[in-house]
Amino acid sequence: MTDLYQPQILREYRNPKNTGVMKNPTHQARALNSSCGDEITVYLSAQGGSSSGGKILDIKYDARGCALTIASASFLSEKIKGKKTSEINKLDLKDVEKLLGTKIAAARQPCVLLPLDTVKKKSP
Amino acid sequence: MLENQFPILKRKIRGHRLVYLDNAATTQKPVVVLEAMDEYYRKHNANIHRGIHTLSVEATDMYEGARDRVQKFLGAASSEEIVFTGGATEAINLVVWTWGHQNIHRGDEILLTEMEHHSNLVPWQELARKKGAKLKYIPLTKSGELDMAKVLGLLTRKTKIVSVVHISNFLGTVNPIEKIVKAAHKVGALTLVDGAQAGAHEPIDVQKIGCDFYVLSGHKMYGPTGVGVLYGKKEILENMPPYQTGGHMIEEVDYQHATWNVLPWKFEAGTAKIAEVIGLGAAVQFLNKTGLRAIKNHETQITNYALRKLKEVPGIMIYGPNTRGPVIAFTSDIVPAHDLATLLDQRGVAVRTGHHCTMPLHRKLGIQSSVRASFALYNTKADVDALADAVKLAIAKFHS
Repeated sequence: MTDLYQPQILREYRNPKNTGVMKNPTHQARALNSSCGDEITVYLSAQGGSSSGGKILDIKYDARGCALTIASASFLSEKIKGKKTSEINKLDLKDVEKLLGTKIAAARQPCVLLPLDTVKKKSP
Repeated sequence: MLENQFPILKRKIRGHRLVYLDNAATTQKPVVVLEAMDEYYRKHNANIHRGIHTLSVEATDMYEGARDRVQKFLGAASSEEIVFTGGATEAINLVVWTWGHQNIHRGDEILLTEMEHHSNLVPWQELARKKGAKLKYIPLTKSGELDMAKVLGLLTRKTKIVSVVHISNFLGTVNPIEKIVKAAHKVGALTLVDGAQAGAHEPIDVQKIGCDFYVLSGHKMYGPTGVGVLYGKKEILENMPPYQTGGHMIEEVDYQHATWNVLPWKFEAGTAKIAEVIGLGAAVQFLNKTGLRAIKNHETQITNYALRKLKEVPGIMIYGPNTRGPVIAFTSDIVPAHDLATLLDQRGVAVRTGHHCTMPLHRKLGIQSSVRASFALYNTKADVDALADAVKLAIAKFHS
């Protein structure tokens, strides 16, 4: 089996991008991985404010979680900047695996999907 | 001898010997338990009670024989005090929604501890919310033991029940339940002891403890899933309304009314968990034969050895007191708990990660999750060495 903890994942976990709290976000969502207690709050700033359909101008997230959740959140935050909701809603596990550069076993899929699911929950 | 009783321990996981350290979640099943259930299905399968035919009589004897074994195992005065449930959670819910529903009213107080498993917290929380009762918690000391100095101040004449875990599934703390029961009874409160983590590890004598209710989880004491035990004092059980209604729990039914069966069957509606109860009976026999004192001595040695080995690993934080049951939860300052568990699994070491159904306590300690290694009678020092080595390797990986 392939090693989950590949260098690019550990690198991203140690130096995650776009972390923090956003003042006056247009959209905000919090989610919990109930199996382990990991949590993430995602802040979005979208073109056109809270109206729907706008592009994501900026994203920040505040996460307490495992290396896979943090790395996934970091890669995803870079990926969705400038994207429209319709494009974000099409993203799934395969895209997340592509971002992480490795296949994710079933037991850890909730970890890597937590950031994407949270973004989808509240994206404009 | 033990290795032959647990064939699953011969499994290889990712090329490594299985090191099973998730016993607080569920223990592995000895051959004697598997054979008892298999034999029931192969040779005696029939519904129990009221059957006149031979198979039904045999199955009834096996089922009720298991009840007698559990009664002796717990030191209960009578087998009428032993109710089989779907698990420890259901046993607690039974008490909450029968006795609790009947006896807890607006303004009454329910006293729990800060280390309760969700199974002994959420049902009381729901009852308190519906009834307008107040939930109070016995706080913990820094070392992870109950702050007994605070107990007397928390007990009032409004306290109707004190519900306490015997051994914490997260901290490993063995609580002084006899003292708590005595203090609770002084203010007229009843007591429930959650023995889910004690059944396989600690000799239990409910009459010596003096508690009003005691609950067990079958699958955490070498028995099958889907069965648990509620012990209740006879006079209290007799005054409680039924939990579920339907077949077998009745004495007489007409189109408008029904009356209830005697104890313990009043609380066992529907077809019983026959094979599971028989399996639990075999597990209890297995525990008796091996000897709870011998088991406890062995597990204490393994636990102390593991505490020593883990303390040697830099950056490992261990939760709970020095003297404890066979449970060690810990975190690393380098590797998040979830990742640590994944990396341990890659070396064949099975542990649990997460909040272990003690979310409020994890939050209080300022952590999201922890890794938990928990031991059983088949674990060895070699298992502990495998754990410590795998933890060191995981940390090295995150340092690289």
